[in-house]
Amino acid sequence: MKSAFSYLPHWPLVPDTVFWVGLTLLMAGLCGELCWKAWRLPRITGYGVIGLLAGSAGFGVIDNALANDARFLMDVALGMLLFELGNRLNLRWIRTNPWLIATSLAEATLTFATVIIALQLMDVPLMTTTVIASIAIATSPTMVIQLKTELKSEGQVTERLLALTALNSMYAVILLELVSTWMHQEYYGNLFATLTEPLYLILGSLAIAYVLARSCQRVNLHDEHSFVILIGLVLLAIAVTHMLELSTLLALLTAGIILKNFDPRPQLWQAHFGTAGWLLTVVLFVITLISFQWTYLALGGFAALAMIGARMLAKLLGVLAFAKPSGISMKQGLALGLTLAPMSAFAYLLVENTYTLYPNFDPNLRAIMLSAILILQLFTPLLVYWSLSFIGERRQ
Amino acid sequence: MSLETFNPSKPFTFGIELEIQIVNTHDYDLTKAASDLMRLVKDQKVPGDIKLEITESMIELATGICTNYHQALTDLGVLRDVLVTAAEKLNVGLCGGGTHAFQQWSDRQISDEPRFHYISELYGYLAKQFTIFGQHVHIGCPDADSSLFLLHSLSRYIPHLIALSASSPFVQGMDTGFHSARLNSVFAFPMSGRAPFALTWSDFEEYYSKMISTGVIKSMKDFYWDIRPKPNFGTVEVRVMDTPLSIEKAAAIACYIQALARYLLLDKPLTLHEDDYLVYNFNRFEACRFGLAGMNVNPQNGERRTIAQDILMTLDALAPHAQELDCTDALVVVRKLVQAQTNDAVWLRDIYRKESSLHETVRQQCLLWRS
Repeated sequence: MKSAFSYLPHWPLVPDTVFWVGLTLLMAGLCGELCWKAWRLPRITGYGVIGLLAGSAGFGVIDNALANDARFLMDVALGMLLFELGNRLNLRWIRTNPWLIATSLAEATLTFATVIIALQLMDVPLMTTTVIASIAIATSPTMVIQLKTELKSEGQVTERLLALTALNSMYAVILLELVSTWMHQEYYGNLFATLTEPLYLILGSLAIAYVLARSCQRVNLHDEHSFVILIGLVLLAIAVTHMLELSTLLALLTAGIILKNFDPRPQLWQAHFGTAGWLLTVVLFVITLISFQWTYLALGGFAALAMIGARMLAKLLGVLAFAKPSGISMKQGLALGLTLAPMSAFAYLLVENTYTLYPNFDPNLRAIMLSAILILQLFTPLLVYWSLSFIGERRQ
Repeated sequence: MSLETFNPSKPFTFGIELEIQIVNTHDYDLTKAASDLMRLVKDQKVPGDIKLEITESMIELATGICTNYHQALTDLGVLRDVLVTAAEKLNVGLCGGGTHAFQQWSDRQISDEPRFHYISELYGYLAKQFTIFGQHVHIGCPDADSSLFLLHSLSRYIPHLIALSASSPFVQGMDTGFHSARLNSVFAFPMSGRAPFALTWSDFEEYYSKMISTGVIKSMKDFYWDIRPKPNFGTVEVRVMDTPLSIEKAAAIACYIQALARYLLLDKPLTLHEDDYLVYNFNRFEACRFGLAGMNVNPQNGERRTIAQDILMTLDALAPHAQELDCTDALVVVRKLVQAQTNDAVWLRDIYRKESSLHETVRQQCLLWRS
């Protein structure tokens, strides 16, 4: 009903989405700074805590509908970070130092095997176990890049951490794809579809990666104005992978690798895609824990702990086994093994993708994985900080 | 602490030290890998040695005692190959060049050695700005007095050596307009520049003990002179050169100094005066700023020639000595460089003009170093 006083707001005031997003970011920013300035804790830990409080595990200020909308944002943020990570993987290095591949295969295979054993001992169904073991191979690319940038760390452990993370993220996506053929067959029973699904997904994603990388080579990335073109290209690639139901993660990571290795000239842009990318990264850390619920801990907490223990041990052993021949000291190997522990948004998206394709999949998967992500996202940044300090590679 | 006694060495033998840049292969900025490289090369058999330098982004290689150009080239080749193989294992690049084109000095880390901590404590930010890369050449001298005679007569040729080796036109991302901007960083140190005009070892000892009694210096190492005597090696050490971009150039420049030394000590073409130093800083500046095109003023008669012309004339005088020393090939390299007027600073500017990227320029520096 219009009246002379319609210009006044309706009572009670109803804050809209922007209000809640703004509030969440404000709190995340403050909490991150508090962690860093007061306790020398990594900012990421602070962002995670706010995500947890903002979501259904806390005050529930951000509801599930919004969290779902945020999925797109996560895809963009993670896609950009994977593109950046891929662009740091020097394949020539791996060719000249094959012990790196040995290290990478050892830590990935050991992780897969030990997580399967650990979860089987916890009576988790075999198919769920296999999915979790595949995802567990991946180290969080988001945290690795964020921590490297924040600490300005450089040196052998940092370089190898980036390389091993790029490789194990790639293994995780491809292995999960192969595991899902088994699920596909169980769920849909169509052999032709089962066989063509991974082919479509992997080859399709690689094709997008190729096109994106070749297009980027035509842009002078150092120039801050053409930087807009780069962001545009990356966003378009993400959108096309969405439209074609391909893997954004695989496409963007591979695009980065192709860009780095097809042309030896350095292809550079601001770390984190500058301030805009940094903001997206914060959003990513917050959102990852938004959908966490305390019931997950009750349902999958113990299995998550077993998985975390097995995974950390496997990664440590895998790295230590080849530390010397690959050219680092055992002390550096120890630090590298520990810094491979983080798990965050990348794993979360792989879990969510599994439920998108197979909505009725075992709820244990989400419970165990989100419990593990909660623990690892809150505690491993500190572990990475300590490891990099221990080895003298952090500058801040 | 009194000055060490001068251990005579075989005249005109020489040794080359090169400080090398360690860069990452992502954006080609300086990176931290010197200790890792040292660990990988420590058990390798090499002529001379490889050692840590003041920051973790530099490493120094040194040949053994050489007598001619080919031996120097072989020694440098072995050292370079050992280092390049180790660097590949660590995914880092190595390159010559007197400065890194775009590193930020504040990003550097001081190596974990007591002497480097002392320097850092004493000189503050200058220590980090000292992340510059030079070539040092030691020339063997028969006795202490002739080392001082050689030192002061070589001073006349300092502009030649600066212009030939210049490879530091860029500093912190900017074109300085200089061919060798590296020497400007050395000049910031209080004990830099020319050595005092002492022509006998006893005069030099007297100067040295006076300096020690002031407490300003503790050993010969605290002098950052362009040329300084190195009594325990029995050499004079020429320190004005930028690290060239390739070992061929480094070896050729070392042999040019070797031939000069023989010419100066045997033919004695110069009579030395303190007044020779009146134009020393001017000539030195011209070489740093304009390279081979810089002006060189003859201190004795005031004649002005470009450094390139001066070198070409000197090469003629050196020819018989080069023949004796078996380093004629080295002087051919020097002559070609001077005739084409393309020192490494010119090469670097050319690459930058073509690529518009200092990152890419450093990458090509690494390729040149490996080849």
